[in-house]
Amino acid sequence: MRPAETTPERRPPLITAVEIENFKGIGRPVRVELRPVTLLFGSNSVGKSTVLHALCYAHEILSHRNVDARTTELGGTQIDLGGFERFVHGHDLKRSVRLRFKLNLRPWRRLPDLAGWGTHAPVMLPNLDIPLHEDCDVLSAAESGWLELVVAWKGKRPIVSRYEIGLDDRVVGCITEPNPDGEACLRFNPKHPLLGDGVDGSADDMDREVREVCWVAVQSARSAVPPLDRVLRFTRDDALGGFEPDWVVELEDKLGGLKAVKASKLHAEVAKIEAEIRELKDAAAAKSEPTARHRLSTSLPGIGHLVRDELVRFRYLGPLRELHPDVAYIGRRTSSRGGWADGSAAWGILDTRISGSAEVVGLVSDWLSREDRLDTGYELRMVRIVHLPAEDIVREKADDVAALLKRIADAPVHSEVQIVETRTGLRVRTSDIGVGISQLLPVVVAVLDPDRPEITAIEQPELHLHPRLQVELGDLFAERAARGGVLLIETHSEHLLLRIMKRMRQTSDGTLPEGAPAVRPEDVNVLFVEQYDEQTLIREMPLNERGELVDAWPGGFFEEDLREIF
Amino acid sequence: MALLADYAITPDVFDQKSYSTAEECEAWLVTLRERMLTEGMVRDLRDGGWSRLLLSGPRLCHPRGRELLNKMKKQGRLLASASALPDLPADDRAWCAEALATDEVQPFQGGVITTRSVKEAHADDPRVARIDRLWSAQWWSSRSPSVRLQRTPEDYEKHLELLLRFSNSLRFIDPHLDPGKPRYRSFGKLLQRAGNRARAPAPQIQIHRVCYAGSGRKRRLPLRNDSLYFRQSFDDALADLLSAAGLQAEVFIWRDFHDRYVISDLAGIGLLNGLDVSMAPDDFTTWHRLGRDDRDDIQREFNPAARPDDLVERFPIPA
Repeated sequence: MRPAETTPERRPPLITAVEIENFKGIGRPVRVELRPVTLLFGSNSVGKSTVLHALCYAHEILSHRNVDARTTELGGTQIDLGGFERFVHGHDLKRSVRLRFKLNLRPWRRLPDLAGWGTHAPVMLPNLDIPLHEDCDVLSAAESGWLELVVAWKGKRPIVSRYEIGLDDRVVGCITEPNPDGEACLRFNPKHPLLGDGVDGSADDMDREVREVCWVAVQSARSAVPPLDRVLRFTRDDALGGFEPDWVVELEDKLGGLKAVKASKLHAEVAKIEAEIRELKDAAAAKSEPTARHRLSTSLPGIGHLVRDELVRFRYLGPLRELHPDVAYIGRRTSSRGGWADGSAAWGILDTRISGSAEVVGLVSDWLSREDRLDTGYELRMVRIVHLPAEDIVREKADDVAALLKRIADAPVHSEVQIVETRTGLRVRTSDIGVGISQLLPVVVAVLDPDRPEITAIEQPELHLHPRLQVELGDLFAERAARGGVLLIETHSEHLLLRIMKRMRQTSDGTLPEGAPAVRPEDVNVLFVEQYDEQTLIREMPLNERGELVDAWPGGFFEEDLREIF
Repeated sequence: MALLADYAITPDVFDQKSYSTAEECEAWLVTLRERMLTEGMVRDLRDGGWSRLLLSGPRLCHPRGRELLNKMKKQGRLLASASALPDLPADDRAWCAEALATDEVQPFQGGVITTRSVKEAHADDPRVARIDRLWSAQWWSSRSPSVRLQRTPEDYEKHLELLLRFSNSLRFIDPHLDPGKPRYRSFGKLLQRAGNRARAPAPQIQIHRVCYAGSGRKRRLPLRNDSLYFRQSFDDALADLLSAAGLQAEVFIWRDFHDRYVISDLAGIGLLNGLDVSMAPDDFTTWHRLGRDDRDDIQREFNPAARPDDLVERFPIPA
């Protein structure tokens, strides 16, 4: 019986594209659009892995403020960036590393709750006739956005010299590098709709619109990255606040115009106007209208917060998975973010004592064993182990079965997952299953895990696999991607791609076999990575609805075998 | 002769038994490979039954032949051809007859390639040639890497016919291409031809031109409203036509370039002049077929990812 699946509806990924500049082999900006199955192809050492490493590096910056990253939490032992001096393109310290994340904000109608929200008095921007929004839901109308980080070498160390947020194709604001006093500079776009009903402007006007400057306090003077768990503290209120609403001015003018009022009535008139002012102020305070300042101070760190959270969940499975976990059965592994890099976290996922569940085990076993799936010749079996000392059993009288059963029932029990040879039913050790399967299993677990994050990156999933299994991997990825999220795959496998192309053709023709995943052009992004002009160039190689390459594959589509045969 | 030609090949060509030695078979397959992967396309007779017979059917196929067929299939060079005769061919001669029957429906730009035994049955038919006597067939030996043609819409369409009918992508690269100008008015007909075809889905069409008008001393610097002009001109001239043909196109406006090409997934063609036509009756131009590496280079050169700073703008038509 096939295992029941309870995979919940997955939220679309926040990050829809990544733009990278001056990072490792990438010099000129390259853009990678993330689709459910995103495949990076290309020769060795052309920069395919750089895209994955860039995501790990961004996580370091946003989560740990580790701008000069050598190792990364997500990359574990598999990624050694070597510090800014090594990973800046061409080792040229005059260059700045730039990472830009394009965001789909539709599913995110609210920013995360930030400490300090609501403590600011409502104030309007000076000299700008911008009406206030009625609530704090700054993303309620936003469809898309971006976060850009620029890392530059300053003095003797790298710093985040620019942190920029944009919403709906228009920049909201950016924080640039701190001055010698440790204050970072905030530039914002006063015409952005986020800050009010600004005037529509073309993209050309954008730079001109970013003209207001004030100073903001960031956590330390070392970086322009704002503290993502707090609202920004504006240190020069005259730039963004300190301005009374119009109605206050009007009423105070009234107060100033009371000279002509008879002294006997003056007290009453003043009291009346003051009461009116108090009433209006109380009403405004009760409404807690968010100001442009609130919106800036929450959206700037808030959107970084969203990206950070997605990158915290980002799963990176490196090209060299741990060969033979030193255990007699699966389990005894802890699951950690860094543990994914060498695949060891996958073993933890299968361990029901740690984080696994019968559902995951069933799914993985199903994919490993079924003839119409990977058909590896192995399956997983969950068994319950009763811990009962042998002496206890011997001590029981042979005819006292009831007592023995009671002892067994009272004994501690735990579940354990075992690898079983499908054909013989024999339990095998991880070291018995062959290198290919040991490399494959973490890939299967990473992809089938119901708690799979929005983005899962895998380097060379086909490592040590027979071509038949590589083909089936195409189905595994397509089937899982259809359930949401992004699988970012760096690969050399023609077979994997051919299966995906075949499924596209079958989807188009209506000849898809039962149970096979439907694949459409918008589900797949095939990227060709190459060295061009001494830099990494990434081009999309689109597939049409019949799964055919739209453009000619540079150098011929995997024609190495043709050259060998002829 | 067109720069890209279609052929039919009888199954015996891929069968080692048709030759006196294995070496001879391999040698002739090398000849086929050179031609087929650069400038050839093969009719996959009987709606793909021909390739199924060789790749997964009972017919013996030399490993080199099998590999060649696989590569042609992946490159989109096997053209599914509807059955032209009522009966499924039972032998190689019948396959040749089937191929010739398709010629009645859609004439070959190339011909039928076969072996000695089959040719004997069609000794007087110039459309059929033995693989070891291909040089004797006019449609094979007269092929050239370049072609002279009149600068007329008819000649353009004739020499681009297979590309228009079978390509998955078509890039028209001409620095001065402006369908709003009289000399480019017939450009739309080429696009119509690309839409009016049996092979689905519709090709991806790109049009590349420069951001300025004129050339040489008459070159005019880009004006602020040029962008609007180009959008309007392309949309006015092509939007309805493309919609009616079930097509979409994207226009790329570059800072500068000079060369002219038609680049597709099947072949690349260099044009000495652009795709504009001439009213002069004796106005000829020369087109040449690009090598695959050159085609790849140009495909890359006109990809926005390779030269983002040189791309001024891009827009779709219909808008």
